[in-house]
Amino acid sequence: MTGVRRLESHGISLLVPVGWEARFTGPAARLDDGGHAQPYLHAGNFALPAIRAPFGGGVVGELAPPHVFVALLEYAPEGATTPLFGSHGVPVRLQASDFSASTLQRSLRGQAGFQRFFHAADRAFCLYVVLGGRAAYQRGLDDVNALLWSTRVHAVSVTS
Amino acid sequence: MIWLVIAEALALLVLGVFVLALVHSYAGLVAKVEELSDSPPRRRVASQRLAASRPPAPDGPVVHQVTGVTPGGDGVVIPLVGVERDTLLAFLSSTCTSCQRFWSELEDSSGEVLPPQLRLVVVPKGPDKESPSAILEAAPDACDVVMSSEAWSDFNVPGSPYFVLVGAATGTVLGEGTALTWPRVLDLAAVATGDDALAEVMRHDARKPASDLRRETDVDRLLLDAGIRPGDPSLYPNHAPGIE
Amino acid sequence: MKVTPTLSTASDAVLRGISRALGGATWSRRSFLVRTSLLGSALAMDPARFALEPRTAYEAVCGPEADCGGGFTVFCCTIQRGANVCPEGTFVGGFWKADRSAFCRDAARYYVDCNGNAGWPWHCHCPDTASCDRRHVACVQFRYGNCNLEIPEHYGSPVVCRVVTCTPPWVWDESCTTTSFTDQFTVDQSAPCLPDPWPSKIIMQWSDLGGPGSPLGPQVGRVERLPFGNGTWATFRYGAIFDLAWGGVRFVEDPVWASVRGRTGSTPTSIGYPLQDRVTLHEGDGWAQAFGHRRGSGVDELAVAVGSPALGTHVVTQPVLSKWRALGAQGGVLGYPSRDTRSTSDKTSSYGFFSKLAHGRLVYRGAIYANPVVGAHWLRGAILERYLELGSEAGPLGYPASDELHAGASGATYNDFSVIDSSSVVSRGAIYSTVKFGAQPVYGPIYEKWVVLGAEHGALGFPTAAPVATSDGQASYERFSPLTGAKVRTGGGIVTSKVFGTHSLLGTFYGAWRDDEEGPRLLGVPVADEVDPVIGGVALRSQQFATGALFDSAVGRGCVLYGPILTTYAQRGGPAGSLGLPTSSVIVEGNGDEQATFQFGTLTYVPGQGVSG
Repeated sequence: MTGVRRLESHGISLLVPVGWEARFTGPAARLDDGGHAQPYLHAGNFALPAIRAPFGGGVVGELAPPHVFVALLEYAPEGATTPLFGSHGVPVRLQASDFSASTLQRSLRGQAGFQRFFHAADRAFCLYVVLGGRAAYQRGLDDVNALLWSTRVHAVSVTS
Repeated sequence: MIWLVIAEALALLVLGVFVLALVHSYAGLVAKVEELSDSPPRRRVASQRLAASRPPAPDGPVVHQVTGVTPGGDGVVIPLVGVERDTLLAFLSSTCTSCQRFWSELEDSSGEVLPPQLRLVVVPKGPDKESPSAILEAAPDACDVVMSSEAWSDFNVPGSPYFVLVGAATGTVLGEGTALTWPRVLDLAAVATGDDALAEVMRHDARKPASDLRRETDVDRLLLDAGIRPGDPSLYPNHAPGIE
Repeated sequence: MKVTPTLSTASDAVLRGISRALGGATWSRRSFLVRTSLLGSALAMDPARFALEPRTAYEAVCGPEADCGGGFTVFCCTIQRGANVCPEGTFVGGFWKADRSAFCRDAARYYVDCNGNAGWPWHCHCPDTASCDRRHVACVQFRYGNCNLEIPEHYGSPVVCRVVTCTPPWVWDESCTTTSFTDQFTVDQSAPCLPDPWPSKIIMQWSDLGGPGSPLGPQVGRVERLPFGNGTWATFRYGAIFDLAWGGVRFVEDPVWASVRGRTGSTPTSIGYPLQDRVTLHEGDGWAQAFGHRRGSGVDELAVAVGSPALGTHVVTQPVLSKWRALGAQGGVLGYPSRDTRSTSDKTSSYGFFSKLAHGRLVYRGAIYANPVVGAHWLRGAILERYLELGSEAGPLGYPASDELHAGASGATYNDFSVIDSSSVVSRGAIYSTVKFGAQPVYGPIYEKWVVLGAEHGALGFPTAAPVATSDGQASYERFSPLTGAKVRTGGGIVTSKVFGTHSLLGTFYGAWRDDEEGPRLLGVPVADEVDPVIGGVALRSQQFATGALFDSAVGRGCVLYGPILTTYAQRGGPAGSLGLPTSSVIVEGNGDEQATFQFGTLTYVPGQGVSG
């Protein structure tokens, strides 16, 4: 068995680094209140809790300094042509300077975050990465970049 | 005539030996069943049981991760090597009779049947061999479930229920076998890891059954719908005479 | 389980429900009450999660991680004196939801981020508040990305505070999409300035609108029951919210509230309750809100409060309302109401006034009168103005008995009217409006005579002026004319008197009579209609008056006979007699003698001596 595995769901494929856990949650579904849930990917170099919120609720509060949490969330495809999702392609080659202690959904001491909205294959996404502490900057960031570099987004047919 | 008598005696002798063998075998089975009960096992015998529960696994590469899909059909990769906790893989199915008790105890405990030192991953077979909807119904939300026929093959799982304890640092199989209850699984894990305290942790951590939680939720909702909010005098028995 | 009836019937019903929920478990009432009191005080926030130790009420209100270091953003109402709205200088950056929230009566609760606008001096800090909600302000640069997608990411702004609603954001903010994220870990988060768990639907609605920061303003009245168990309601500084058992939650805000305040309710004179939220009207940028009550399986619309920037808000009630709607409401012929619907002076009917505007300017006024005998009818413009000048329903015309109608191809319009007495029509009339003659009424005996003669299609034509009284006040008359101009025997007038009845004067006869009426007054009022015999091959027009007669023929035009000469002429057989047709009027000589000539003779009257000839 190789240490690196390819994971694919919902038209997105990626290589999961050794020691990383990765999970897709989906599919797109209409909710009781008329809203729409969209699929998302969570990945981390730690055991992801079974119950998590899309942007890391239930996860970030448990991060240790070496931990890295990655969330790749999809939005409705109509967003792909809007200014908010104007950046094209999966962000790659993230550097420490791209992270900020204020770019967090929940600001916790020692953590730093990165957020980018982008479009790919006529689909709209948000990439959100949280570093648990200084220890995550080196090895963790390398793994994040390897994961992002391997991520491929394919066009999918729109279903209501 | 005598030949008849000798033949009868020989037949009786053979029969007696056969009966003795049967009785011995039966005794062995009874002993095995007793060991699988809740009575505390003898450590040395248990370790022999763990090791002898199935033929020794062939030498082969370490299994680095479990790859499969959730019952909802979403891809998932769970690493087994270089992680922070040992992983207990529980190979269950939706149809095996012995598995039902494991599923119901998972439900009652909201998935928390192991101490925090261990990570539980329930591994039914993949959707090609197991019903995702049945697994979805049986498994609580708080439980990690990965449907993976590949994992069954990787670990040579003979049937369900079956448990494999994987070491966190190197991915080595620390122990494997079958059991009838979660506490018994913990006992086996304690033996495999040499951590006697493991089993005791869960014994002293009595969680409220999920069914009781649901009943209490329903009761609260009924009271609130009737306008009886926290602190309402009618809730306090000292102020309501005549109560049984 | 034994139950001693020490509580109310409602509580016993609850107990039975609880017994069923417990599956008939052998719990004593004491045990489950104790358990529930402990659980309830800690569980009201999130029925799905239990705490075995009761928490303090203060802790329970704000929920976990409410301190500045907890990592979460403050609620907007905490830093805005209760206003649950995004502050000035922010935009809605996105939202998430928590399902099964006790704050929304077990439905989803939506947390909306208010992100700071570029250029606003937002800075990260802990709020200066005595509230338990001490979460930070403007400390995280983050967007959920499901609202205001037109604002690019590089805008980069902090989350200043959070608004919470039980209504999905895409319902009240069209910049929000329906892409939804669920985070149950925030389900317990709240603040003292937000409604308690399990609020009334009214308070929930008020909070969703912004609480004290909403258009309704602060709450001024408690939530109270409506009469007859219809539901509940509460008043606010600028409006009210109703929770109707049959109609759901509806709110009424100014200016509609100012127009209906004190009129809502179930009494015979009230307008019921709001049937809908206020709606925007595209014509004239107006607004409207309907009121009524339930009837059977449907609803009765009793009134609509309708407003526009130019005219303000006014209430239109039944039966005027039904007529106005049938005419196309504010987009129809009458436009927006300019006054509330009122009762007429005799209290038998109601009426409403309207104004038709174009480009902000008044085109004409209109009205609807609703009478139980003749029904509801509309009138407008010159006809309405004329009607009002004449005293409207209290005047000689009574109530409109028809909508505005067209008089054939003439281009004229008219309304019919009826005077009602004791539920019966006692008199009829009309107002005709023409470009040539304006809006002119015709009513009473004159109207009836005119109709007999063919109304506007007859020889008389259209009324050209209102009726006037004769100089002696004993009669009244009205002039008529075809639109194309009067001829010898078209146009004319109708004269009516109590003594001599109502008679027409056609063409030149009307002119002759009018000249006499304004001059020597020899003829008096007509006592019969004109007769037109042929005498000896000559066509004659003749008409009798109270004190004279008119004759017109080829042998004598417009001959006026009166006094003794007329009497003698009549005695000798008139036009068919020996004298033949008159060839002159009575002429008064200088010596006072009077003389008239005829085809076959002359009659002379000498005062004191009689008539000879």
